[in-house]
This record gives sequence, structure tokens and C-alpha cells, in this order.
Amino acid sequence: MSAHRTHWLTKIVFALILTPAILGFANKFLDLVLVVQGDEDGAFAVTPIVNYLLATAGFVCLLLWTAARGAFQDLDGPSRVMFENEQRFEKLARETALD
Amino acid sequence: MTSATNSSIDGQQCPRHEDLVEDRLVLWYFVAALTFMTISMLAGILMGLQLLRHNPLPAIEVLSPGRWRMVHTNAIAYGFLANAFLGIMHWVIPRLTLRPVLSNPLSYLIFFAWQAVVLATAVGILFGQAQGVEWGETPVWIDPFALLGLLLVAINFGAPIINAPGPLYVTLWYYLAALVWTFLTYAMGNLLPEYFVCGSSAGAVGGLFIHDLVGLFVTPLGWGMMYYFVPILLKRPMWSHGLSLVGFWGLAFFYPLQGIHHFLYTPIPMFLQYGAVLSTIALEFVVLTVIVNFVGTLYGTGDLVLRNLPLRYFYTGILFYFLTCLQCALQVTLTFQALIHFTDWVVGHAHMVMFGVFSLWQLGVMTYLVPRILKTEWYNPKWCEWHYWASSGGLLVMASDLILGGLFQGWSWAALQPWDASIHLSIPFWSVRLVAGLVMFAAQILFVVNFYLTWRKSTRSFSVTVPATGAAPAFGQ
Repeated sequence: MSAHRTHWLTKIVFALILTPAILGFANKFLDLVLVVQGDEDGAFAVTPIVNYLLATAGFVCLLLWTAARGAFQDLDGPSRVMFENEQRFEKLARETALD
Repeated sequence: MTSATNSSIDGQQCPRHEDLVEDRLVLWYFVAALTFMTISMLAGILMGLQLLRHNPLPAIEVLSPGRWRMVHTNAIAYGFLANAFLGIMHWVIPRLTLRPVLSNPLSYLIFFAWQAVVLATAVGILFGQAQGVEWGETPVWIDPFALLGLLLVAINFGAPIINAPGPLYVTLWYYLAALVWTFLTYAMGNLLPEYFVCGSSAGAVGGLFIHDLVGLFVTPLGWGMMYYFVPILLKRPMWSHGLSLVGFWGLAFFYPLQGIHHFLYTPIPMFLQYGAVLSTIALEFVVLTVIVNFVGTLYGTGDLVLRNLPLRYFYTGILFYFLTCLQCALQVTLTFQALIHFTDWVVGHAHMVMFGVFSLWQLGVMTYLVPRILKTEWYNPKWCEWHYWASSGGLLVMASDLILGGLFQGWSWAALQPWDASIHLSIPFWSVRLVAGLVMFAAQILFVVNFYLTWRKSTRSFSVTVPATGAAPAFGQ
């Protein structure tokens, strides 16, 4: 598959997943606002929701930062590096033992 | 190509293991972990006897069953799991980042401080100072010290991870997240309900805390560990590092909302309960990506699982993890919950997660690392095999028994039978659970004895011959 086609396919899949997710989230967030406004007792729901939103916001920022640093460009690179380094540790240890 | 890749190719840049890892500290953490595991399992057995009306320590307030039960859960979470994870991180993080931890003296300070925190928690619970939060019973006066300890852990391990070059390996993502999550989760669960919120809100936070303790402390440290050790033992990289990142980010986004599924059918607004149910079911798909990745990595070398004991531990844990998550996706539905809530099904589920997955993984890592650190074979490798079969077999029997017993209890309550009837029908299940627990306990004692004799053997033979870490025998090759 050509790079151009893959690029557009990714965008379409991205939109197909994100659009309902954003709509669903907005709908539920509206629910939360209505609960808080309409019922004083409902305000306690804010605590767990705010906990979740803070954690999620942090992870969105982290995900964007990671992507900007190129972590998703060579997906299998870190795995190869880790494996090669471990093999070298083993080799060094064997050489030390022989000495 | 990243700079980390360059460092792996250029032989001159690879530091020696001895310059990176403080082996002695890893061993000390293992000793502490096994000590607390013994205490925890002893407490579990006492509780099991109490359920069968054979409490061997009646009329002693300090040793009353309710307090022993809290010692059982706290010692396993903060004594065994946390200590073993800390020891393993002292091995994994420096080798992955090619950098030592921030400070070795700080590492030793954390070790002693953490043992003091866990011991003080146990003593505080026994003397009736438990905080009214499940899994967060640590007396309130210990919380600031525990938080300070977790902060120091995050700084000590975070420094080499943040300074590591290039895109991070997935283990480091999990570890980095766990360092932040554990501190925040502990603070949320122990401080919010105590000082800031009350009533249903505190209940909701308690639910988040219970589940986040498993999902944001134990799970990332456990999977991070697996992504490191499995490729090493299989002698091949992970099938797909991309898929492993899907697992990580999926955990990050789906897990934090799940905890409220512990409080279905409560005054907590239904949209929050539905959100918890949906995110729990969604996480099952994320779990599937992780399982597929590990099965894909194993593909073609499945016989190694039969021959290599640590690998067998790892893949047994992975199987239990799949089962437990599948169970979780089903049991959080409102229909299922109506039957199993408050029953022993939940206890069986909890044992399958804590022992069947994470404890087995840690015991597998210990089985692999102890001979490498002590530079000698296990005193008795056959005892290691017995340890595996008795631990995993005992757990299988215990979890199945409790899950089945939970169904019978639920049906009894649903049929509006008297409470006594459900107690009566539970006795055979509790008897089987006690026997399974005794088998598991005997297995751990055998492992501890084997560990001690191996250590003694290593100190005796050290002056005669010193095998290389890389050439460490048994189970790892």
C-alpha cells in the first residue's frame, strides 16, 4: 500500500474513532454539569470526575510530547536496542568470568 | 537511528553490570519481600481457620481476625509486592537506561525507610489504628512518611529514566508512569477521604483507590517487568513494540475511571457507574493486545515454556491475567454484579490477580535472578519445580473454589434463604480454600529455605569459583 494511501486511511480511521468518542465524552460531560447545577447533592460526583480528567489531561500532554519527540516513528527501534544491550551485558559478563 | 542504538553498537560505551546494579540491594529487597509474604500468608491461614471456627488465637484483642485480615492484605501489597518490585527495578532500570540510579546511599535509605513503614503499618493495624479505607488501612500518622518514601523512590528511579537517550523502551514507560501514579494514587486514597471529602464522594474515591492500586501501581510495574524479562529469556525481541505501546496508552486512558465499578447499585450517579463499566470492558480489548503480543513473541518457541522455569512462571501469570481480566469484564456488568457482589467470588478474583499473576511473576523473576546474583546454582533446583507446581496449582484450586463458592453464596442470597444457610453451604468451600492455602504456604517456605541454603552455599563456594553473571546457571539459559 502506498504511503499516501496509508496516510489517508490512518486519518479516516482516526476520525471514525475520535468523532463518536468526542461526542460521547461531551454528552457525558454535559450530564455532569447538569447534575452539579440541578442537584446540590450531585456535586460530589465532581471529585472522581475531576480526578479522572486531571489524570487524562496529563496523559494527553505526555502522549503529544512523546509523539513530538518521534517516539512513534521507529516503533520497533527501542525493542531492538534493549535486546542488543542485554546481549552485550551477557557477553561482557562471560568475558569477565573467563578473565 | 537513535543515540541509544549507537550506544548498543559501540562496544566501548556499554558499562559493566557491576557499575550499574547494586546486586546486594536487590537480594535484600527479595529477603524483605519473602519475609512479609510469609507473615501475610500466615495471617491468611489464621483468617481461613477463623472462618472454619477454629481460631487458634481466641480472646486476644491484638490478634483478632479482623486485624489479621488487614495485616494479610497490607503485608502482601506493601510488604511483598512493593519490596519485590523495588528490588527488580534496581536490576532492570539501570540495565535498560545504561545509567545507575540517582544515588546508592538514597537507595539504601529508601530500603530501610520502606521496611519501617511496612512494619509500622502492621503494628499500627494490630493495635487498632487502622484507617477506614480498604487497602489503605495504613494508620494516618504513617501516610506522610509513606508518601515521602514514594516521592524519593520516584526521584531515585526517575532520574536515569528521564536522562536516557532516544525513544524509551516500553518497560520504562510503564515504570515512569507507575512512579507517578503510585504516589498520586496513595495520596488520593489515603488523604482525600480522610480530610477533604465524605459520604458517597469518599466512597467513590475509595473505589478508585482500590482499583487504581492494582491498575496503576501493581499492573504497570508487573507488565514493565514482563516486557523486560520475557524477551531476554526467549532470546528474541518483543513481537511488536508498537502493540506494546497500544497496551501502555490504553491502560493510561481507560484505567483511571474504572474503580467505581466496585460500588455499583450505590447512590453514586449512574452515568459514573456506567462509565466505570464501559471503561472496564474497553480495557479488556487493550489487555487482548498485550496478550497477543506476548503470545506472538512466544510463537515457534512454545516448548521453552515447558523447559524454562521462570518462563513458565511468566506465561502462567499471563494466562491468569487474561482469565482475571475476562472475568473482570463480565463481573462488572450490573446483571452479573447483582449475583456476585459481597460473595467469595470477589475474594477468588482478588487472589487470582495478586497471587496468580503478580506474585507468580515476581517469584519467577526471583527464580531467575537469585542464582545470577549469588553466582551459583539453586541449592536444589527440584525444590524450585515443586515451588512452582504447589504455588500455581494451589492458587488454581483456591481461586476456582472461591469463585464457585461465591456463586453458591449469591444464589443462596438471591433465593432469600437465611444468612445461616449461606454460611453452612460455604463451609466445604472454605475447607478446600484452607487446604489450598496450606499447600501454597508450604511452597513458599520451601522456596525461602532453598533461597537461604543457596545463599549459604554461595558464600562458602565464593572463594573457590566465581561463575559469571552472564554464565549464571539453571533456568535462565
